[in-house]
Amino acid sequence: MHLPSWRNRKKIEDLVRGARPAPSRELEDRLSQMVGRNPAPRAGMRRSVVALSFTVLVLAGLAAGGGVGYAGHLVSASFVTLKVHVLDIQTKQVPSVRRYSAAISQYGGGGGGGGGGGTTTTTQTTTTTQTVTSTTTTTEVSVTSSGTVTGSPSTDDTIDGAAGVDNITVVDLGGDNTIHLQGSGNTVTTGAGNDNISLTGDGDQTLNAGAGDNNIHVTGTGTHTITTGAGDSAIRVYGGTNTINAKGPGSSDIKVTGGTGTITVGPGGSTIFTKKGTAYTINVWNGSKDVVNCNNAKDTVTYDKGVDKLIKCGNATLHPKAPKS
Amino acid sequence: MARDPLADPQPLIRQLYAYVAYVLGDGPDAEDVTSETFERALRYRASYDPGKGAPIAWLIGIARRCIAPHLAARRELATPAAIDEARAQGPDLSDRTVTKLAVRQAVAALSERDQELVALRFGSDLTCRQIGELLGLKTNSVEVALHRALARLEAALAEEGTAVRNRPQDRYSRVTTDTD
Repeated sequence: MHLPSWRNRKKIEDLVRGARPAPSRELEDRLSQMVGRNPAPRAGMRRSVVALSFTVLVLAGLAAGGGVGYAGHLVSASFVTLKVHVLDIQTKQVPSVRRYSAAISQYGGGGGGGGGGGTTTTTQTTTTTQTVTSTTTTTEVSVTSSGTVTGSPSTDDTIDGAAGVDNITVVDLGGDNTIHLQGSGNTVTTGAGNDNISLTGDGDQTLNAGAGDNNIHVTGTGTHTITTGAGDSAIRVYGGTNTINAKGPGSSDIKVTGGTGTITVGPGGSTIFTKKGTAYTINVWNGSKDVVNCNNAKDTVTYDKGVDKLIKCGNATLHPKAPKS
Repeated sequence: MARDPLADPQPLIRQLYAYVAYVLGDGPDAEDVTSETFERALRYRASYDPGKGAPIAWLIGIARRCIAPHLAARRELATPAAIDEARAQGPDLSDRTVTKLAVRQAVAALSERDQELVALRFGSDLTCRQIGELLGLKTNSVEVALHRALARLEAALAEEGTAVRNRPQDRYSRVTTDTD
C-alpha cells in the first residue's frame, strides 16, 4: 500500500480537521443549558460527611472513656441544634417566580438608586395559584413552584421549570417556544409554532403540541401522553409508559430507547426507531410509506403491507393491512 | 468529586459531536447520540476520575456505548452519499463545501476501525496516547494505524477527484482556516 509522505499527511490531516462536522447552535445551547441546570454536587457535601464521621468517632471515644452521660448530653444537644436548623430552612422555602426580559438581562433588576445588577423577582405567597401571563414581549420565565404558566400567544417564550418543582401547567398557544420542565406531573399545551419541549423529570407528563416542526424530548419514567399536530416533529422518549400520537399529517421522526406503550402516526411518511428490549404497539397503517426499525424489539406493528418498510422487526408481531386509499 | 468534567461544556459538545458525526454521519443521529451521551454523563459525572483521562476521553467512552445501536441502524438505512446530492445542486455550493462533503464521504467510506481512529484523532482532537488508552492499544500502534488510515483516505479522495497531491497550497490554507 502506498503511504503518504509526511508533507502530504499534514495536508490530509488539515483537510480532515477542516471538514470536521459542527453541532447545530440549537444542540449546543440545549446541552449547555442542560449541564448548567444540573450543577455538580458540591465538595462541601463530602466534607460534611467527613466532619460528621469525625464527630461520631469523638463521641464514641468519649463514651468508651467513661463519659457516656456527657457524650449522651452532647448527642441530644446536637439534635436540638439540628432541629433548629431544619425549621430555619423551612421558613425560607418561599415559592417564587423569576421573570426575565432583555432589558433586565442587560441592565439588571435595578433595585433602586441606580445600583443595577440582579433580576427582578416576584415572590408568590401560595403554591397552587401561581399564574404568569406575558402578553406583549418575549419572556423568559423561571418557574420555581407549582401552578399555571400562560405564555404569550404572539411571541417566542422560554419557560423553565426547576428540578423538584412538580405539577406545572404550561399553556403557550403561539410562537416558537422553548419549554423545559424538570419535575413531574406537568401538562404542556402549545399551539402552532416550532417548539422545543423537554420534560426530564420522573413522573407523569402530558404534552399536547400544536402544528409545527416540534422538537420533543421526554427522558424520565412515568406515564407520558404525547400528542402532536401537523408538521415534521422529532420525538425522543427514553423510558416510561408512553402514548405517542403523531396523527397529524407530517413526517414525524420518533425514537424510543426505553419504556413501553403505543405509537401512532398519521400520513406523511414517518420514521420510527425502537430499541432492543422495548415492547411498543406501533400503528403506521395510514397509507403512506413509513420506516419502522424495531431493532429486534418485541414490538407489535400494524402497517401498510407493500408500502411501509420494516427493519429488524423479526421479533415483532406483524399485522399487515392493505394500504389505505 | 475532585473535578467536574462538565465544568466547561461548550468545547466538549463540539469535540464530541465531531467525533460522533464522523462515525455516524452529520445529522439527527449524531445529535441524538451527543444528547444521550451528555444525559448519561450528567447521571454518572460523580464517577469521573481525572486520573484516568481527560473529560473528552471519558465522554467518548460513554458515546461509544451509545453509538452501537445507531451504527447497526445506519447499515440498514444506508442512503446515497450526500456528495452526489450536493453536486447536483451545481454552482450554488462553494468549493469549500464540496471539499468538506467529499472528505466526510471519504471518511464514511473507510472501515469502521479507520473511521473511529480518524474521528477520535481529528474530530475530537484526542492524542494518540489518549486513543490508545481508550481502545486498549499501544500509542505506537495507534500512530501506525492512523498513518495507514490516512493513506486510505488519501486514495479515496484522489479517486473522488479531491486530489491532495497536486492541489495548490493556498487552497488548503483556505479550507483549514475557514470555520463553519
